[in-house]
Amino acid sequence: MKRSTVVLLAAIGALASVASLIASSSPDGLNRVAADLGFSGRQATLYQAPLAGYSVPLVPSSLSGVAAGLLGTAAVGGVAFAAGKLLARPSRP
Amino acid sequence: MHLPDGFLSPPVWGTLDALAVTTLGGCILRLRRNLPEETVPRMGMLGAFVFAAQMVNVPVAAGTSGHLLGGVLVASMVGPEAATLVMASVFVIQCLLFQDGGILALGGNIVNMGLSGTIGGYLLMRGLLRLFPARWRDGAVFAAAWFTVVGSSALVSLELAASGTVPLVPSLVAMAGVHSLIGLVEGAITVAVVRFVERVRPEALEGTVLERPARVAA
Repeated sequence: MKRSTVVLLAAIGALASVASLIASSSPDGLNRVAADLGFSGRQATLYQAPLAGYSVPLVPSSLSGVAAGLLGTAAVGGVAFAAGKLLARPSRP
Repeated sequence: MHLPDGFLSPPVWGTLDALAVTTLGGCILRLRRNLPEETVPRMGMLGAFVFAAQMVNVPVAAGTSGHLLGGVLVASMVGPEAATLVMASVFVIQCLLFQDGGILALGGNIVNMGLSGTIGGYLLMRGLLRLFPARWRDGAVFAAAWFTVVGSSALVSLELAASGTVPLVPSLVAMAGVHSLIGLVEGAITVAVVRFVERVRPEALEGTVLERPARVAA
């Protein structure tokens, strides 16, 4: 693996690990507006995700967000890579 | 800006789901013909980065936060079709694994926060890059990222109004107001990552809209 690839992967891994720890817990723009304008109550839960709220069951709560960050980052990286791999034409030498 | 289920009415989420599926289908057809293999690792890397970065809510104004969308960033490095696929991967995982964004609203979230940048923001950035001299590249990237976030928030307001959830004007004023600040974060992160990649791996920008034309000896 090229050195620059290692640097980039390490940077992404580091970001994924600390993401939940440094994130602001204030509501985001839409949630804030929904609260201010009084339509938050319309929110409905139609599906229960296994890691809802970026917390991983069985992992101590202090590390749960870190685990969620790493798992999700790996999952998205894997899905996006696999999607590309399925579609790409092999490069001709 | 992830829409949960319940905020949009069935005709609105239905339309947005159909739009997301059709656009993704169109992108897949085009990528089958012309996706170079060298782009694939970049797609994985950018998808991973966008997911991690979207977890980081940055405080922007009293008691409100915002996070990166990333569509303009990804499209600038892998092109709009591959970027659309990358951004869709982000929202699908967020929805299915982490309950971030509704399941029926998934198409809406892909359109609002993905396509807005990978197609709308990308076209704006390409136009600005053609219009202005190369030394203003980072300004063009910043502007496209900012307009994408504000445009996305306006789109969400239109969808909420069309759903009968909240009247258009107050929600548009509030959404565009707070997102004009969040857009500054988007612009700053997008430019910072472009510069970082340019330094660590300059060849990644070759052949993209971000490539600076070679200096011609005067």
